Amino acid sequence: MKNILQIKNLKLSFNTDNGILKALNGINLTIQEGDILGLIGESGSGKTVVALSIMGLISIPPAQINDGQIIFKGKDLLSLKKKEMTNLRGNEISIIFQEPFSSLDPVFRIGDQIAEAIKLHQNVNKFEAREKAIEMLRKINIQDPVRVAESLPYELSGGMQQRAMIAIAMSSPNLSLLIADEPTSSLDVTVQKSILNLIKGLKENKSVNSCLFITHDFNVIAEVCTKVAVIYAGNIVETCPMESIFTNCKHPYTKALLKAVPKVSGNQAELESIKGFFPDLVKPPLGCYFHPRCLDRKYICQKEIPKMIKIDEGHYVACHLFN
Amino acid sequence: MSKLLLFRLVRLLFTLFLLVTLVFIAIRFIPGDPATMMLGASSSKEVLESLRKEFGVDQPLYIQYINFIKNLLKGDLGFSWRSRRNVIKELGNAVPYTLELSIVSMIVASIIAVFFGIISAINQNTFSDNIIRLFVLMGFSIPVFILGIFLIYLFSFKFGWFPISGAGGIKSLILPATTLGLFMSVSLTRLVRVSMLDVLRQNYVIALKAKGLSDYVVIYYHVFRNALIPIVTALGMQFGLSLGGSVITETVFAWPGMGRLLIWSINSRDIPLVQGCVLLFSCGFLLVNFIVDLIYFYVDPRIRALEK
Amino acid sequence: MKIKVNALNSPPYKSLFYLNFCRICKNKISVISLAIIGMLVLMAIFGPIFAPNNPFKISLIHRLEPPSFGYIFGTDNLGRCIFSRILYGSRWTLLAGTIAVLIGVAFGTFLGLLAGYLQGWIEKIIMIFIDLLLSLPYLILVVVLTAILGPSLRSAMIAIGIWTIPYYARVIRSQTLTLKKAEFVEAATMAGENNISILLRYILPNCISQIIVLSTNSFAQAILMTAALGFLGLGAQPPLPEWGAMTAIGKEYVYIAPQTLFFPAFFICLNILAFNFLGDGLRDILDPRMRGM
Repeated sequence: MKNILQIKNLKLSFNTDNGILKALNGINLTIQEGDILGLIGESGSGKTVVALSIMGLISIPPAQINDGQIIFKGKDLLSLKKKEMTNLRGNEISIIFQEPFSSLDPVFRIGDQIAEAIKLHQNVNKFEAREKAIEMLRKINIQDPVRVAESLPYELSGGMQQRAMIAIAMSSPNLSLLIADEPTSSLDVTVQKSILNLIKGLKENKSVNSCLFITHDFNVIAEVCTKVAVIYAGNIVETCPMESIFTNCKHPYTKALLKAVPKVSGNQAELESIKGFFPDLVKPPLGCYFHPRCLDRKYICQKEIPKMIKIDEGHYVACHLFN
Repeated sequence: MSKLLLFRLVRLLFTLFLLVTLVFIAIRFIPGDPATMMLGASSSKEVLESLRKEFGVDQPLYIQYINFIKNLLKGDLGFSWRSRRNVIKELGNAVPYTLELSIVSMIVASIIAVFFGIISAINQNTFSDNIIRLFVLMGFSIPVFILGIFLIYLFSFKFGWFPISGAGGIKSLILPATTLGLFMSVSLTRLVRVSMLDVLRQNYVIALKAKGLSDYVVIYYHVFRNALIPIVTALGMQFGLSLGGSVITETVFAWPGMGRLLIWSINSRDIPLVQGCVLLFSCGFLLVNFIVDLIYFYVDPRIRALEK
Repeated sequence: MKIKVNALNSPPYKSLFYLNFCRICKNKISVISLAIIGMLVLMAIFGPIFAPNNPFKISLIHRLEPPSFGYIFGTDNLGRCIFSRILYGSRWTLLAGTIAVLIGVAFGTFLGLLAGYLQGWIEKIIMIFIDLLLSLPYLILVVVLTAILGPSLRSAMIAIGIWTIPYYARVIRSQTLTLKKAEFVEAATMAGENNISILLRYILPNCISQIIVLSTNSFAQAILMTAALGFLGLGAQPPLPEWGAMTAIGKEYVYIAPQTLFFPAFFICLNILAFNFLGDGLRDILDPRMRGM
């Protein structure tokens, strides 16, 4: 199976007024052809930073890439020239964001925005692009594509806006990787389901090869993903196939996350939460970043950062408990 | 939608009416008896009285007001006490000059402001941005008349490129238009910069880049188009600035426009003319702002969404 | 074995005052502006003592002389010492700015507070009044008011003061409207405090930073307009050595005696610049929301 994307030991930091903030501390991720990799973690864990780094959309003056490579189809994206990276964007890698309204230009019509993307990636003229845009909207199950194409973003509902965003992201025939950064977090539950079905359908009809799906919701992971990676404070703490995450997860953080999900059935008196606070990334804890909040911590946990250890086929954990 | 328009129109008329009344009352307070000013205090009483009767200042205030409104509705603003010509005619002679000056200087100001504002915004916090901001700040501190005199000194006197004052052809327009244009470009540059920065901060700029659009297209097509919206509203304010600035610029350059007419009529206590000038200035300003508001309403789709 | 965890330390506390103080010092331009303004104040207070010549003394022998030992800045068209006139003129400049700003602050704040706090028909009337004041393009209102009051420096100061009122009123009104909804104001109302007390103890102090920023800029505008009116002959009347009136003379004689124009123009610009820079610096410190400028 070919590797579409391989992130090797990516270290990224931000220069802030209070000091250097270590946003990514050696990220290792692999996405193979046909994978839908779910990246799950709390707010502030670095998920969006990973996504934007792949796209090359992190502004480099406050941010700094200290180490690592992002290898996409054999090329290191970090060493590409600006023009080459711009050619890749929207063409072979595209991204959809959490807030669809704030990702659309408010003064241009939806149809024009999709057509703009189509014209960029396919060899068509203005009118053909317009036609294709309406076609695309129809393919995504929008009932009245012509009306929607003539509308401005504020005239559409959240779900429609997100579909429009997906249409823009899918405008290239060369798409290999789709990054979805919490695409359903700002939508209500019924709309969520239809968007997730849409994304699953894209993979099934081969519109896109593979997908990096970023979320903080385990239910979404269960719906869509084939593999899961758990990220905490800029570190990947566990990666495993989707089946293992619920039944056989190993890392204390993953376990705590799963426990924190409220249960619909059964008697649950209190909501479980993880004790302690998210670490200060300017002065992170020594050793494993999670150790201050870990109930099973050992002495070595506050001395050394744990390396990824293979537990099983496709299942890796970064924890001293499994040395 | 047209209900909103009607409401705004009514409000405009009400404001205009109040303004007209206020101007009438205020101007009647300008000290100095016009008859004495014109003929000298040593003239005979009868002559002064007859002149006053002609001007209508011997009547009680409320009668003067009623006459004034009656005439206003007929479109008659009276006669200038000095030149004996119809006020409307005097204004009519001056307005084209002021319009010419205002429009050309607004064009100059817009070009300067858009050029430097965009450079300043996309290079935020670098050397070029800081230099531009410094110049903008210094520009705020130079009064129009000093700028004007300085330009005359440099280009008319030292270099002899342009006539020192007066109107007559394009050459004589350049210096006054440059002066007023530079003056107005200062606040406009700042506005362009702020507006662009505001838009550049928005999330959709990243989304646009993620589509694969080049930086050039993102900035000059999408960002600029969005940034233009508040700038267009500011054009109304700019027009006001140009009218006010024209008062001084026209005086410095002896440009025969409304500004110079206003100063001249104040100095000669020519009440109908002062009245006419002030009315024209303020009503014109109000009307332009009203129209700009309308344009803004159509230009910005988000405002339409809010009003719904 | 109990493992000590010290990952939950918070950073050392730095008070807001200390942070602002650091910012003021880092802002060299603000400091320079303060120095220039300080020099203006000193000129105004002590200038007349140090003036080498009588600014009103006409000396037709020494007309239009370039700067020399006896006349540091040279002389104007009536042989008066320009340097002394500048020193004396600083008083008028400072006075004009102060009075204009005081009028604006006093009436503008009062109207703004009233409009924002009481709302209803009082607010509507005040807003109509403010809209009227604003409906005249910037210099024209001042020119007309000065004409009505009779051309003199005093009229100019009052006219400029009246012109600044709507700016203060609008800002204070919007600030009051926002603050009125704040919880601590609601709490005070419910505790039975009367309106005046609430206005003075809660709302007004929160408006002070806006007033200060607006005042520095208004001061700069006041200096500018006083000079403009002096130039037009509607403000300070001769023989007052007001800087604007001096530039009017300068305009006529700039071709043969540039010193008549240069020195008053320079001082006008310098002081407006100082107040504008100071205003910007203060705004950076006091009103972080407007830092985008």
